Amino acid sequence: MRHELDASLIAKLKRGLPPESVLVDPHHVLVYECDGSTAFKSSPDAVVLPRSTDEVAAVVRLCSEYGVPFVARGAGTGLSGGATPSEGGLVISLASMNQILELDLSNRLALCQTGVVNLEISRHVARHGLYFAPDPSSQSSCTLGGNIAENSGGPHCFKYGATTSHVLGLTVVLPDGEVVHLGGPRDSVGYDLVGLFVGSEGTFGIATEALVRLMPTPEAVKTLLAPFRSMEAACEAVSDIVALGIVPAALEMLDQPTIQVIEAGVNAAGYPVDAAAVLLVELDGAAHGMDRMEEEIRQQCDKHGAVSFMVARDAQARARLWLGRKAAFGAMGRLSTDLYVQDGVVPRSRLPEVLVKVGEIAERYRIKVANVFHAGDGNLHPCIPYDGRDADECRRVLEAGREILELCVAVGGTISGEHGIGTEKSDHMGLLFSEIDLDLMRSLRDVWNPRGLCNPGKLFPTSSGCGEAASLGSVAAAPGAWI
Amino acid sequence: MYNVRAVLEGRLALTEGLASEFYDCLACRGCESVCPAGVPVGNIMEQARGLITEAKNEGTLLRWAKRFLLSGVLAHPRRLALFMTFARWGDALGLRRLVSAISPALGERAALLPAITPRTVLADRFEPDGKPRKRVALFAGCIASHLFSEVNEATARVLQRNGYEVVVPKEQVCCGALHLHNGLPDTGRELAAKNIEAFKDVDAIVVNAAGCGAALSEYGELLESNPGAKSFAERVVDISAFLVREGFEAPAASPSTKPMRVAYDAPCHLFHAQRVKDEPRELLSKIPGVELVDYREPERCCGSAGIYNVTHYDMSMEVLERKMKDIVPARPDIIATGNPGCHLQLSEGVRRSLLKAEVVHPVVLLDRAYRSER
Ligand SMILES: Cc1cc2nc3c(=O)[nH]c(=O)nc-3n(C[C@H](O)[C@H](O)[C@H](O)COP(=O)(O)OP(=O)(O)OC[C@H]3O[C@@H](n4cnc5c(N)ncnc54)[C@H](O)[C@@H]3O)c2cc1C
Ligand code: SF4
Repeated sequence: MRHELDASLIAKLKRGLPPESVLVDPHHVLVYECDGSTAFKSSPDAVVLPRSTDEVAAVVRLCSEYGVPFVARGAGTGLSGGATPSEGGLVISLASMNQILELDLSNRLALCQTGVVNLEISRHVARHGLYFAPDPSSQSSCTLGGNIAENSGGPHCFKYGATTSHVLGLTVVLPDGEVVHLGGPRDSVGYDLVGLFVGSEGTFGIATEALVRLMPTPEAVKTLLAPFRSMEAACEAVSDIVALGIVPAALEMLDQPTIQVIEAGVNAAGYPVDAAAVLLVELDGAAHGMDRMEEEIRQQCDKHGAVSFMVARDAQARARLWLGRKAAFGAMGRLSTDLYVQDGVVPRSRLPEVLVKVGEIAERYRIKVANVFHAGDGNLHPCIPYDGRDADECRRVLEAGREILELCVAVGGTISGEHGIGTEKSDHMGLLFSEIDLDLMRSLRDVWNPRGLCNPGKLFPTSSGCGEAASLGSVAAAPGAWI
Repeated sequence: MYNVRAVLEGRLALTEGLASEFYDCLACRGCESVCPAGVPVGNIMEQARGLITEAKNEGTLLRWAKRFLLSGVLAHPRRLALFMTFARWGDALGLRRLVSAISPALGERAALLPAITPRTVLADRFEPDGKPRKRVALFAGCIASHLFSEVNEATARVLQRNGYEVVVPKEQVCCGALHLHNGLPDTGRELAAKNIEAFKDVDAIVVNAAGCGAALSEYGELLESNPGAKSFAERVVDISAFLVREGFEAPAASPSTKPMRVAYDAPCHLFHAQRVKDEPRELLSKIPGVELVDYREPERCCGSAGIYNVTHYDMSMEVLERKMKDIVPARPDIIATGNPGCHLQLSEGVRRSLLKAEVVHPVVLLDRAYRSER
């Protein structure tokens, strides 16, 4: 259902905001039609770029008055169509709200506007020996607000937890325009509303300010790289490393197609292109004992036939190893015009068999797949390059994506590790949840967002998809699935 | 980029507003140095601007001015010579003052151009000092050969001094960069074909202007069907990259009696487009008396961007201001850069910031050093 925007609404918006902060030209609004998952497109009618909580609230009140749907947008790096304005209406971009407002060094807290870019927080506090721990690979462009909405993780979240562990308080503009403050530095009374808001994918309102926890930069860091001759051996090494009781800061894996495409681009990290897989491990914390941990990890890698074992010499070498990994999705742009990044989770021990099956699915649908994933958490990211102009290929890609998720659920995993459900996976929720579960979630959303104007069309199956999901009832969650 | 794709897919109309935004881009290609996907942003921009010309979607006056100056004059060496003679007379008769009096805005832009001195015609052959190592050709450039004849002479002398026989093919024409960047790809292709023919018999095509070098080294993609295009592009090399790659004699004397603080500012079309990053600094570091000074982001665009500083004066000056804010604290005596556009722009920056510094091409500094040996 699309809404024709009332001219008087645009006029009011233009009166309340500087003229360059209200975009209505077709070529201006078009670039807001999708996020990082370009398979899902829907152009907004207008885009606004407010600069303060008050301005956001004023815009939201107008939307509420006119009954126009709206969606918050950070940097648009999301990978599940979360910021796509499915029903048109307004995109409210937080891009101009990028200030770090206050630092409380003794309590290691920062109060930020939510449009601030993730990496800017760490850059800003680096001289105080602090950093913001959640580090999605998109951290040089994604915003704190997007991280909060998606409860984003990152390579280092294996040890430090995803965004939710690092957000203490929020200022939120509710979908009727009311401004509320949730949580705070020492709040543990009553319901954990901050915890509820984090991960709500922009359907509970718009967060405009956030109080986040900062971490002291670790005393020592080591980055290790081990290439393997087979993916299976590499996965087994991961399981054994974790079984030792060592908690590395990060445990990342890249398969051969991924390695090759990274090495061909500007972020070539020096990964051996003939390896079937490389394992990237980072250790951080106290310097004491780190050499021993390194040695234990080396032994496990040797045991599983690692071709070599490299330790980054200095900060520069570490940065280079990480840059390759973090630019992996981007590098896939060398393969085709569009990229579909799948996001599923499986128990670590099932990784090898699942990867083989993912390969089989890809073959069956005649598509290419490159794997790069957070091995420590069993969080897979099969990347499927495709050409969005080829309708048949699009269909095959989406179907393969769905089969991969069914596979994850069947082995006791889940359908998203960190990218969220958004538009992309709303129809797959039935793979994991019963109607009762979904109704409970819907009623929760209705408390925050009773008229459904705030980011409609997300998370929950649309009616057509629902029937489809029901017919696939045979792949219901396996016993002990991580839901 | 997303808009370009939408236009190509037929999902978006190429309106005048959109067309003018395609021209807001500096096309500095800084993004290409960081793009993990290797998106050829410069090339896509050129194609998009070609579409605009096809759709005739820009102001008529601008379109005619561009056609006249770029395709009508720049593309023809003899017409350009004539035009420059008129310009010189105009300059002598106070045309600039007249322009400023009629329109201060145009006057500001005219001030960006250097004084037009009569051109010293470059010889078409330079014998090497001693036994020849190799025969190389010099790409002299069109407007550069008029405004920057000093750089061409210095390039030829430096090559001579290092044992090369230098030829300057007479049939060479403008590289076509300004045409490609400004939506006139057909003229660009015609020029490319002429150059491919003019340079077919030499081992290396040495270029001292970054913008030209970038365009020349992309002839392969521009004229895929021309069998000589790829080999031409492979033989194109920037003077600093050539000297560092093949080895050159370090000068024994300093070009100046005093030590010089030198700030090297990387032209975008050298650093980002041709990926020639360290060679100019290496060359400069071999010159006695040169102390290279560091400052923030020497590889960021200075705002010259071909004719951008004329077409987008205000934005260009904003970019320049940021650049000067970074350079000034380094207190350079010399700002070295290897591109005519950047040279003019930085000279304007020096004038505005009241810095006492000279803008010089690295190879000119090297030439001065050789010449002070005697
Ligand atoms: C190359 C690449 C690598 C990535 N790597 C990772 C990774 O390692 N880990 C990971 O978890 N994700 C990753 N992602 C996905 C994505 O970057 C994250 O989901 C990120 O948090 C999105 O931030 P954003 O600012 O781009 O949000 P957007 O895409 O703009 O929005 C995402 C969702 O958040 C909502 N939203 C945005 N701002 C607000 C706000 N202020 N208040 C309420 N809702 C809001 C939007 O409505 C939307 O639903 C990656 C993406 C890319 C392109
Ligand atoms: S860096 Fe490359 S892949 Fe990334 S947005 Fe720019 S052009 Fe696209």
